[in-house]
Amino acid sequence: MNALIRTVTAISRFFAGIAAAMVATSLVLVCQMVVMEYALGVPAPWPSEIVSYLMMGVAFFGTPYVFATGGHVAIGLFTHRPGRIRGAIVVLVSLGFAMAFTVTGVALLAKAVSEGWKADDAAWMALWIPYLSFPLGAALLALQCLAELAAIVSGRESTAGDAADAAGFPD
Amino acid sequence: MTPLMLGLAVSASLAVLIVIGVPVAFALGGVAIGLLVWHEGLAGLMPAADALVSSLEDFTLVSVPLFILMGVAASLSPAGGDMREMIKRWLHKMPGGLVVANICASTLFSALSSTGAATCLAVGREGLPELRERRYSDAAATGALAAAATLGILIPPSLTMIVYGIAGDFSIARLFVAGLLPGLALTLLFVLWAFVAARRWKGRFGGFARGYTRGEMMMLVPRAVPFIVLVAAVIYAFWSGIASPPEVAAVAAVACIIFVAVLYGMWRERDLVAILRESTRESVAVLIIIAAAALFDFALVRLGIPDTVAVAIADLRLPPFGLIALLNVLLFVAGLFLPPVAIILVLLPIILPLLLATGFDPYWFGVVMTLNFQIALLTPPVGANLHVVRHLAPDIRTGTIVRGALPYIFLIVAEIVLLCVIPEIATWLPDQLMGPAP
Repeated sequence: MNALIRTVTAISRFFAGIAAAMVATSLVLVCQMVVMEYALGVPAPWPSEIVSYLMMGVAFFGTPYVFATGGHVAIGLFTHRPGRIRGAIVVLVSLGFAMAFTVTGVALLAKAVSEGWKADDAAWMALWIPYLSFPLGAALLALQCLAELAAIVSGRESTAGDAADAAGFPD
Repeated sequence: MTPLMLGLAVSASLAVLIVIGVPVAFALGGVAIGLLVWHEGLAGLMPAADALVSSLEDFTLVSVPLFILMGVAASLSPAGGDMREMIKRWLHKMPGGLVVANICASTLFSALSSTGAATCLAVGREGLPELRERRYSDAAATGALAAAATLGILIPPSLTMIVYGIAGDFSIARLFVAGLLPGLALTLLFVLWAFVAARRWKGRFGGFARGYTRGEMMMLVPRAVPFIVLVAAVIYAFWSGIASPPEVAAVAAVACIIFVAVLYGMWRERDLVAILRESTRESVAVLIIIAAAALFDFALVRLGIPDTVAVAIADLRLPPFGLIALLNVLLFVAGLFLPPVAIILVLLPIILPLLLATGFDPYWFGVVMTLNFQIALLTPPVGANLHVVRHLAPDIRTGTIVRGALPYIFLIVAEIVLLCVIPEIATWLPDQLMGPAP
């Protein structure tokens, strides 16, 4: 059971790393916009559109890990160990949220692919690329919830927080 | 069930979920999904997914992670501690000077940080242990720290004002400028209270370990100057309108990272990774709450709840100040369970039409609302600053912190009343610098 939670948390951690890279990329892109507009006098609209899609990626890729291990002030999902029944309710509500958006996220993605949606200013980019983060993040969150639910049902305590500590991400 | 009753049932179930420990974003999302499936069946989920995704497709939203990046870079460095130490040395002859130094350092640091929690952490990390060492009572020490750090969301840049500006389509720069004078006025009220309390209840306020020479008093000034210049530049960029909030945020974040690298040697890979990691963690938490609140709002609109509640409030035919009093109570109750960002997105569709119809200035209301959120940061169970202080001093009970913060909460309420009587405190500066509100 611990191995399952550790594996899921490690995958979440990998995607949180991608989210962090997206924050850094946004910073670089906005700085590039500033230089282009104010120093070179040639404003380009496409970076702002890319940055807004990056925000989507930051939110969806980062959520499973951040909420599984608890932010430094956020109320942690699995690290407070609130008792089995309360813990189960917490996990089930989160699981419902995650499952609903895994399914609708896949449907949205399929629509973006089949109808060939493109970005406006950055017209070279197909919209399914940023939309991919939505079902992927939701599915990963669902997986994290399922692993946690299995731990609660089998009477074990969550190890998501410990796994995070071991990985060098203490709360 | 009438939409009004449904609204009450939704509020109650949301509060229950949050109190039992469901993270705010999932509680908002879970209730929204339940409502939509109940009302429209599974078909209601597809437009909901659209609403969730498109809530994040806004370029201005990048200001959130970039201002968080600036605040985190400063809060992980010793900058907050140095500002506190510098002001502390200047105030070493003042009764309650240590508490006053914490308050003033929080005000200064608030201009680098867009959240109350980051300010609390930066100033309290060294401030709180020193206060306890110098025999300040736990309530006096923690209450002042938690309360002063709430200035982080009033003094620009402010995360709640960014979200309010995006949600209501208002100028974020104007909102920031509007928060400036009320922020300084509140600082003054906090300082006056700490000074009076320190003279009145000497037993609860300790003293200084020693005095400081003029050289010692000036020693830390060079370290604070770059940050003060950065703060001034950010505020100037807003009022002059030379750049958009994301552009200001990006340049300020880069400048702040360079300052902490040069001044505090935080240029190593592990320092930069720590800044990026913590910024991502906080940004993700805020962004997903924004998305979930947009989804929740979408569900409420589909069921006609905001309109019904707005009509019910309008039917009360309250005088303008009665309406403001009611909205303040509403914001206070919501603040007990929800973080500020979620409250803005959930309540704005109800509140805004009422405000505009009554002729209130939305920028003035942005400040009044933020003052309410400052109280929300200090009230259990979700008050973020209480959690940070508990993190810094786990042996102090939440009740003690709230007891210590109570006088400051009353001062925030007093400032809200003051702003209702003299709205110019919030509107004068933006009117002078940026012309009348559009």
